[in-house]
This record gives sequence, structure tokens and C-alpha cells, in this order.
Amino acid sequence: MIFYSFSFLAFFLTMSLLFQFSAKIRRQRWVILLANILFYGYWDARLLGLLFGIIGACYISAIAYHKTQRKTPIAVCVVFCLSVLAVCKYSNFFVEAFCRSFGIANRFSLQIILPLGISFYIFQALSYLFDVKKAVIPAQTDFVKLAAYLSFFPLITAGPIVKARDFLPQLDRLHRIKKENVYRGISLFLMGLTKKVVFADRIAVAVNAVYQAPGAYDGISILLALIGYAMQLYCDFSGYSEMAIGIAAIWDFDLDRNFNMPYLAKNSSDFWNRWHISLSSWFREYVYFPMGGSRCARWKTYRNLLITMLLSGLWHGANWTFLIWGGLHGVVAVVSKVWTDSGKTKTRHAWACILLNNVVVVLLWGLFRADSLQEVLQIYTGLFRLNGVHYINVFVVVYLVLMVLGNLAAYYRNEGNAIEINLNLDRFRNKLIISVWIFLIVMFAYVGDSAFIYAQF
Amino acid sequence: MKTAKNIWQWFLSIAIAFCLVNALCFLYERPTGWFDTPNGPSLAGWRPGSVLVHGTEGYGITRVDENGYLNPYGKLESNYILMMGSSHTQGKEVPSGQKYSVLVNTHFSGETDVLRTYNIASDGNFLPSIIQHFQAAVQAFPDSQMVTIEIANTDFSEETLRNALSQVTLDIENSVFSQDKNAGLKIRISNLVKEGFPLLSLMKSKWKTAPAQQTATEPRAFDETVCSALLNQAMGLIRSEYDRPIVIIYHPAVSLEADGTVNIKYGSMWSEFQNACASNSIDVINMGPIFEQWYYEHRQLPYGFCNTAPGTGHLNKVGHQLIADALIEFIERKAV
Repeated sequence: MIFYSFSFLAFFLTMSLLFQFSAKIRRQRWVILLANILFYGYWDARLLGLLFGIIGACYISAIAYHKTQRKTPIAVCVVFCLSVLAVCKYSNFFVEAFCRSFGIANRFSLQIILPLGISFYIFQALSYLFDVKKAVIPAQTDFVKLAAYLSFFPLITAGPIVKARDFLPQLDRLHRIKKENVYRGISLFLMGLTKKVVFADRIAVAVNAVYQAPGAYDGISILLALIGYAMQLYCDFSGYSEMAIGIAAIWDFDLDRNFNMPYLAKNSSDFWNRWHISLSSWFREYVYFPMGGSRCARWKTYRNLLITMLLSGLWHGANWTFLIWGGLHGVVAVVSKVWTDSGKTKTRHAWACILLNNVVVVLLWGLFRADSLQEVLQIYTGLFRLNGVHYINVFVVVYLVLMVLGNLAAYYRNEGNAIEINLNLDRFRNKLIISVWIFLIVMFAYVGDSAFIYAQF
Repeated sequence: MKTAKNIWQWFLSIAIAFCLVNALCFLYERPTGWFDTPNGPSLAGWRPGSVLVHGTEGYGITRVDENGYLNPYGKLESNYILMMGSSHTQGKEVPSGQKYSVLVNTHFSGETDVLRTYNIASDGNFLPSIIQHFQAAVQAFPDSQMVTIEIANTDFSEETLRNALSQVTLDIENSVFSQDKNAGLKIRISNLVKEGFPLLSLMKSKWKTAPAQQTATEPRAFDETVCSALLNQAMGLIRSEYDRPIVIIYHPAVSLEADGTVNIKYGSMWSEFQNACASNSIDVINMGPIFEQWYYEHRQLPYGFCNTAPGTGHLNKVGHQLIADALIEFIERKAV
């Protein structure tokens, strides 16, 4: 049930009616939980067992910690959650690597499907456990409340990863579907939908063509495919995030933005403050800071950066390409930190920094997109190929121009921050804008394979 | 009062927005009226005199001729080549002057308003329906000196080939021209809506092609020996209907491999099809080796556009040019 389907519309309208007419907070939590179960169960009802197993384990261990004040229950639950993630997501990768290293025939790979959104809800579960442990939030005694948070349907497929302390307090008040929230939600949803079906899915056609036969295209076509993939990934994931945040906004939930003009970042650290903000902030708070962050010896700071980025790469998937991608981003983060600490960065170099950062990021996305290291090599060597199929996709070029203009507008009109479109639909002009916008989406939407990239993580 | 105003504003804004985007569609994608011709020279035709705009794959603006086909407006010479085929031959995806039918015409007539080729291709008019409508086509265009048949596939089920053997009878009343002239109010309104509101047609076609609407089709029974005999019978049938040269232009699909080589994808019945043509004195131009050679010399593919992907969809400018060159060379060699 993808967000822009008739089945989701019917589901959402029905659940919104139930939600709106729930007069008590507890009842509303039940409605949210019911919506979550229906939404997640629609994909694959069998996976509900695993989801509720994780929620149950978190619930019990947090209460046990609250009662005994001993770390063991939390530690056991963290290990359990990470083990589930490891088995479902990484076991085959490590088994394969082990067998290959020792020349053993691989008879140990598991035939398991990757549960949808597992990386996202497990990271939310971990944030709950860590926050309880740090006494940032109390252990939840209401199972429904905790389950409503950990399985919240707009977020469960592909995030954003909302921390327990930011979401749980919002479940303590009665929510009302108000006009202002609906207007904001619709504006966000449409922006996300545009990014996904008009931009990302069309660009994907061009990118996939080049990645299917990297040895056939000339350097310019491959460069355009790399730039195209950078745009596709941004539009696909930020589009999903905006749709999710928009849906949550209609139900009066306030979630922070997950992207903030990442291609205006001046360096590596700035980039991760703008790209997949919820994941970056999760790693910063629960991995980087506990290791000492930057408040330790210089070499330890660099080590912390490297480890954090490696783990971030691994989070994205069980493949050497992701691991190397994360590692290289770690190296870039260290180099950037050394450069920043040396005080050589000057304001007048801002555009050069943005350009340089984008070159590095775009090149590394080439690794992120590839299925194997061999494909990566073909892509990078192909950049210097003069004789090959010359393929300039018109949509990639037009959307590149539009994105550059959008970034310039954000840079000069909003200090480099994303400009949120929030149309007041009481005004006729805005009604007209939104109507034209919807018809334009219909006209230019790509119809075909349109799976969300981050849903596979 | 406030609610009524709100509803009215929404109604008005949706109406204005529809008109604005609909107007934009006239430049992007605009279909025209369509008439099925089960007893005509090919499967169907467009409304005569209408203008077709196609921008979802490649870009082309074409005016439909008086018979419902996509030919330049001009006088048909007495000595002309009749071109049959599917949407590839129609060439809606390229500007009119780049279609192989027009390129061959320009080569032989030297002028665009004198027609030495006549294109009667229509959407979905593949080999089986071409065979089925062959008799009607040569009866409707009796002065042609040669027939070309464009095909992209040679593999068809027994049932499809058997059905193709029952020739349709030409009925002048069933022609696009007659249907358009005698169209009732319902058809006229339907065509008016289709041509006046291209956005609706675009929405309909997107809905139809949406993945949720696609149903997987089971591969039909396919016995090579039986199909081979049926192909031979079909080729014999069209040969018996027409005593002048028939040439089949076969353009197989192509795909690029990871290492940069090109893969020409011949159908599994390709060699049987060639044998069937040879034993019935029907010439075949195989575009496969030509596509392959062109790719290695120029790194260009015959399919795909700058708004789609290389190697996919319909014939592009390169594909049309290569077919035109091969056809011209064939005609000159055979001194037709």
C-alpha cells in the first residue's frame, strides 16, 4: 500500500474518521495502533509477529530496567534487536564473505526475506531503550502507546527515524485534524509526490539504462547518470519523507524535516546535517557521542568519525559497496575535519566548497548505486571513455536546471535552508495553484516501476 | 454561505486548472479520433485531417491524411510502394521527414508532395493482422508496384497464426474515410472529447499502463513445427494475393550488455520464418546485422529517445534512416 494509491487513500480516510471521532487520548492511541497493524499487515501479515516481538521485548526490558535500575534488561534487549537485524539483514553477507575467504562451499545461507522497514523500526526501538536508560524519558507502562510509536504507519516503511523523546510526548495529548494541519500536510504530501513520481521515477529510467550497460556509454553520459542518480536518490527519499511527514501532519503530529537542501552543504559534516537528518542525528547521538565525539584527542575524533560512517554505510545494506561507501565518507569527513580545524575555510570560498563537496558526494553515490565493485569500476573508468553511446536524457537536464534554481533560491532567500511550501487553501489563488499542481503531476508522472529506494534498507 | 463559496471556488479552480494543463497537453501529447477498420486495409486509422502530437516518447507532430494514415499530403503516383506495418512504421515518435516511408519517398520522387510510397501502418498491426488484412490492402490500393511489410517479431502462437489465415473482405463502407463521413453523433462527440481534451486521454492511458492494471499473460502454446507450417501457409497466402515484389523488413530488438557489446535478439522462429519467405519468393531485409554494424561504427542504437532509454520502445531517427537506406538499396538493386 504505497502512499499514492487508491487503497491508501481509502485506508487513510477511514482511519482519519475513526481518529477524529476518538474523544479520548487512549482511544486515539488504539486507533493509531489499529492503523499501523492494517498498514503493515497489508504488506505481509507474517511480519507483524517480528514487529510486535521487538515492541514486546522493548516494553518488558524498559519496565524491568525501571523497576530494578539494572542495565542488564536494556543490554539484553539491545543485543536481541541487533541480533534480529543482523540475522535478517547481514547474516548472508557475512556467511558469503567468510566462505569466500576460506574457500568453503556456501551451504549456510539463510532463505529469509528482509522484513519491510526493519532498519527503521529497530533504530527507533533502540532510541527508546537508550533514552530510557539515560532517563531522558520514563519507561512506558502503556503498551499501546509504545506500540503506536514504534509501528507508526507513515514512518515504518522508510522513516524518518523519529526518536522516542520527540514522539512519545506527542501521544500524551488529544490530536485533532485541523484545517491548518491539513493544508500543511497536503502541501508537504504534494511536494513529496512531485519529487517521487515526476522527478525521481523519470530520472531513474535514464540512470538504470546507463547502470545496466556501463561499458557502452561515453564519459558525458556516465557523468550525467551519476548526477542523475544524486538527484534521483534525493528526490526519491526526501519525497517519501515529505509524504510521511505530511500524512503525520494531517493527524496533528509534528515531525522534523529529514532533508534540508543537502546539495548546498559546504563540507562533509554540513552534508550529514542536511541529508537523512534523522539517521545522522541518531548515529551522532547514540554512536559518535558515546565514543567521545570530538571532545577527545584528535586522532580519537578521527577514529570516531570513521567508525560512525562505516556503521552508517553498513546500516544501508549488506554489500561491500555500502561498506566502502561508508568508509570513504568517513575518510572524507576526517579530511574535512582536518581542513576545518586548520581554519583555512573562508566565507568567500563558499561556492567552491559547495561545488567540491558535491563532486565528492556525487562520485561516492556511484558506489552506493552499484550492485558490485566490478560495476563501480566500470562506472568510474567509463567517465574517461570518449567512444560510446552518447545519451543525454532530456528530463535529467531539465530537472537538473530546476534543482539548481531551487537551490539558488534557498541559498539566497532562506540562508541555505529549504523553503517549505505551506499553502493556505482558504484563498482562491492557492486553490488554483494546488489544482494546477495536481494536474501537472498527473500529466508528467512516470507510470512504471516506482519502488522507493530507501524501503529496501 | 461560506461553505457554498468554498465549494464554488474549488469547482472554479479545478476547472481553470484543467483548462490550463489541458492547453499544455496540445503541445505534449494529443491523440486524435480513431476508427477500427476490421474490413479495411489495416487494423484501424486516425480521423482524417486531424493533427497528432506525440511527446511521451520522442517527439512528433503529424497530420493525418484523407484515408486515416500518416502520410505527407500529396498526390499519389500511379507507381508507388505500399508500406504495411505497425506503430514503428507509423513513426509518430519522429518528425514526419525522418520516417523511413517519407525518406524513401523523398529519395525516389525528389519532392515531398508527390507520393511514391504510401504508408498504411497502424498501431498494433503486427504480422498476423497484416496477413489477415493483406487481401483487403492490395485491393484497396491496386496500383502499388511493391509491398513492404515491417515486422519486429516472428514468434506467434498457433492460434494467432491460424486466425490470420482467414482473410478479411474489403468493405469500402468500413474505410476510415466513410466511417468519418457517416459518423453518428456519439462517435463525433467521442472524437471531439478525445481531441479537445487530450489531458483526459493522457490520464486514461496512464491508468491503463499503471503496473497495478497490468495482468501477467500466460505464454500460449507454441509448437515450432506447427508454427513453421502455418508461417509457410501464411506467406504462400499473401504471395498468391499479390504477384509483384513483397519485401519484409525485419528489425529485431536490441539490448546493450554490461561490457558495451550489443545483443541482437532474434525470435526463436526467425530461421523458420526466413525459410517460409524464401520458399514463397518473398524477400526479407534483416536489419539485425545492419543495426549491429552501425552500433559498432557509430555507437548509436535504432531504438530509444532522449526522453526514454536507448534500445527501448520504437524506432528512432537512426532506426528509420537505416531502414530507409536498406530499402532504397534493395529497390535499386532489384530495379523495381
